[in-house]
Amino acid sequence: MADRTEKQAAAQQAVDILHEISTLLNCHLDRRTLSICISMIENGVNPEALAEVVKELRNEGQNMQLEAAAAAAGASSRRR
Amino acid sequence: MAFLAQLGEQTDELVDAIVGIPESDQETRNIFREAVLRLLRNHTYLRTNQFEVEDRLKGLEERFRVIGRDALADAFHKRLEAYEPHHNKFTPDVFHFLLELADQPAQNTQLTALDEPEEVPPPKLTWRDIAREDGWIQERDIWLFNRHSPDSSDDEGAAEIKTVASVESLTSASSVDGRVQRTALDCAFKPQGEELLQRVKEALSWRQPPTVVEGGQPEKTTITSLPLLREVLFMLSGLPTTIFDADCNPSSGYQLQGISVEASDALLNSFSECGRKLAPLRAFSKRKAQSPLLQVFESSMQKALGSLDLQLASIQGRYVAIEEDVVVSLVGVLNEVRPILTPLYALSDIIRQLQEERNTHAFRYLELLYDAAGMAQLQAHRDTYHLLGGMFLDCFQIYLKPIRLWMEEGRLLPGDRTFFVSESSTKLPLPQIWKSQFNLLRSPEGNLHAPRFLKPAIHRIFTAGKSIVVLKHMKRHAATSKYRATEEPKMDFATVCPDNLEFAPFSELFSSAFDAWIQSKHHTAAATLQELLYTSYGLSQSLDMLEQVYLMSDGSKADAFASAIFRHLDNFSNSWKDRFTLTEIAQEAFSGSIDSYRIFAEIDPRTVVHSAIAGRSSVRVNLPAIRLGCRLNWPVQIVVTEEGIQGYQRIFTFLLQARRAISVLNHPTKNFHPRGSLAATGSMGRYYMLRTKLLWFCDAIVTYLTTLILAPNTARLRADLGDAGDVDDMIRAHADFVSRIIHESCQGAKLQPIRDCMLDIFDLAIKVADAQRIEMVRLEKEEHEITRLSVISSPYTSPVKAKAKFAATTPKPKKRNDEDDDSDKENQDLEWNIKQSAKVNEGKPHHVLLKGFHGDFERHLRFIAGGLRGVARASKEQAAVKWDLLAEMLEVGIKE
Repeated sequence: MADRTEKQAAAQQAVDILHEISTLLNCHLDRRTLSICISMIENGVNPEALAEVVKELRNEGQNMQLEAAAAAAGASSRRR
Repeated sequence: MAFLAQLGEQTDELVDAIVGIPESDQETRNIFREAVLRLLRNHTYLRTNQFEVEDRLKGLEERFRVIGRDALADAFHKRLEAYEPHHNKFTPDVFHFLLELADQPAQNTQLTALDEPEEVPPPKLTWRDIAREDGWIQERDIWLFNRHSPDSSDDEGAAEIKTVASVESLTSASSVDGRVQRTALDCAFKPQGEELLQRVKEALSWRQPPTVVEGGQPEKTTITSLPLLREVLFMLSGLPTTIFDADCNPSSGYQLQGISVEASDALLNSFSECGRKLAPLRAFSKRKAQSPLLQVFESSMQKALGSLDLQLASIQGRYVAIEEDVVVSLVGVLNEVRPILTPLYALSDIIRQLQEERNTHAFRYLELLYDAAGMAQLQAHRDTYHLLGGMFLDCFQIYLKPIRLWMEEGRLLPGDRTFFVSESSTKLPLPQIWKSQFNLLRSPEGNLHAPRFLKPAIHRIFTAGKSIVVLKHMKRHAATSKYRATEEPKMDFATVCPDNLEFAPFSELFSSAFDAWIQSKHHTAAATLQELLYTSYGLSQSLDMLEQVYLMSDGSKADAFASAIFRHLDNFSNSWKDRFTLTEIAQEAFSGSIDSYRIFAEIDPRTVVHSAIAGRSSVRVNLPAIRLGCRLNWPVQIVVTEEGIQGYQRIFTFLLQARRAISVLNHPTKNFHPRGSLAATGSMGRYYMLRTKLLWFCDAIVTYLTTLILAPNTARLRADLGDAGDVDDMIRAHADFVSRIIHESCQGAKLQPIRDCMLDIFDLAIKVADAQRIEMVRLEKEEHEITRLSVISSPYTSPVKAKAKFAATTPKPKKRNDEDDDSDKENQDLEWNIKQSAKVNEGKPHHVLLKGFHGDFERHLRFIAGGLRGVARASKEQAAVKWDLLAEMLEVGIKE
């Protein structure tokens, strides 16, 4: 049990350092995303591919937000 | 398949994290998921080259440094180094991933971004979430109470421990920390004594104040004996109770069951009276006093109260831990408690008295205890007497401490206000240590700052301490310890007031015990000091020396000194007025018996007359200026004080004056037998008669002084000194001696006129002698003239007769020493004297002068004798006897 907590702490520390490195590299990754990605990489996912995925998802996300904003603006103007 | 499921899950989370699709929109989620999975599966990227990754990282750091962002480079390097220990096989992949996602770090990265907190704080954890997650509603078992008694099982507790999210990997989807294992509600348990508490509350329900009926008497709550007894015992122990308030007054709302209101009130009042009397005692014992004397008093009081509390507790024990049948009787308890409390009432009275008096000194309570103990003994209140006497002696032990220190070592405790000896702050010269260094403290009214019962012994204590101080200065302090063979007697109650002496008054017992205590300390120091004064410091020798010098006890030596002085005076020389010459004369005169360094002489300029001629004409000038001094060592000076020396000096002067008169009269004059007129013969006879009378007078005075005054008084002084108990007695004896000799020798202020008259007679002696000398010279001159004329006129004379005449006429060569100058001077002065006397006496013939002198003498003598008789009759002093004797001696010479 103590071993586990130690491991957990070490892992946590590793994630923290990686997050700091990602901040220094300006990756725009938050901790949660980073830890998800790390676990995916540890699962065998190709890092380049994963990076590609992240970029795609970001783009898609932005597009969706823009569409949602535009829809909301249109709805409010129609209501008036 | 597990891999795929896991991957799917992670993909969902990733999508959720990056895109943030709402949960409701499952379709979009699925779409995204599929897309991601497809991308991940169908990629054409190669495996990560770890060396390349490493190179890229290094290159990046270098790039940072090149463009001048050293801080960024340092931070980057630091992080990379920090990650070294966590390096695993996926590390290059992770770094590759990060490098792919890097967005122009050289330009865009801000170091402050490291300090920023998480942009998205995790959602707050609520109990509701935990309950929902853990499914508390489903599991009823956790709501069961845990019994921690030995027969219950504890495995319910173990089963309820839920570990949330056992983490194999770090990357748990939920951001909840999930360390909640036992909740507070798990640890809560229901208290068991509910019924007991309820019962106790019912039993004490009488404590509730009764409801006040409007417009009527408030209801009295009825209580049984036992609770009342308990309340009473608590009240007597000084604890707060419901029935009795802070002043031990019973509240009127309670009544004892089964008896009338008046009886109940009376009973309560009698208890409350007991408590009231004890209240000041308890209050006093709680005070924190500063001085040890008060502290010991407080502690003895606390002991007394403690024993009372013990008794009360034992009474309580009878009712609480019941071992045999006991009757609950308030009156019985009252009777039991009364004798225990009676001694404490006496104490309480003392406290009250103390508090009423203001500005008392710390030992006032000792006096009060002493008085109260004596009173209690007389009233045959044995317990009170024992208590008070014991307390008094216990507290007295503390009071004895400074006394002991003072008597054993002559030291005072610094800052001690309770002791009655005080030290003067200036350092005094050694001879004055005894008198002035330490003083007895007195209050402004003049009372001694000591308890009344110690007053008889204070002087001895004071003397003992002073003796030690003087001994210390003599460096003989160690000698006293060898005398202290006896231990000091104990001063506790059992020793001072033993049972077999129960009927002896307390004051007597105490004073005898204290006397014994003092005796064990006092005796040694004073005796040692006296012994030392006699043996080491030669008190008797010093007194002998003083007698020789001042009181002229050795006539030959005194004569040697006096005659040297008189010679100077008669030779009209002023050289004796010098201090050093006088000292030399004195030392030489007394050289046989007294060391020369011990004597010195001084001239008091007030009575010195510069003119030598005027100086020898009266005993009142010059002679009183001669002051002899003796060097005494400082311990002797304690006894022989400065005032004593002055008294000695007066006697000395008077004796010197008397001797002067005698010496002047005895001065060898030319026995010139003039042939001639009867008048001359008559005047010679008159002169001789006068001279005889004057000599007789002076001798009478001197005899009176030496035989009747000085000799017996010095003997008495020796005896008194030998009998003296301590140094104070010695000082007093010596002072008495000096005052006695002054009074008896008519030097006191009362007999001033008589003394002046005596001095007049001495002056008369000088005048007579001078007049006679002048007359002799004149007659000689006359005769010489006549003879000369007759020799010249008569032609024939027998040779023998002529020779005889010639021899008679020519002044015989004066058989003198080689002081021709002096003789010339003397002749000159004599001539001057003749002229002066001629002026003064207006040319009276000699016999007329003599007659006048005789008349004066008779008058003076009558005055002296009459005055002495009168004063002797009028006064009751001891000296009157001597005056009477002197008067008798002098009356012999008075012719009717």
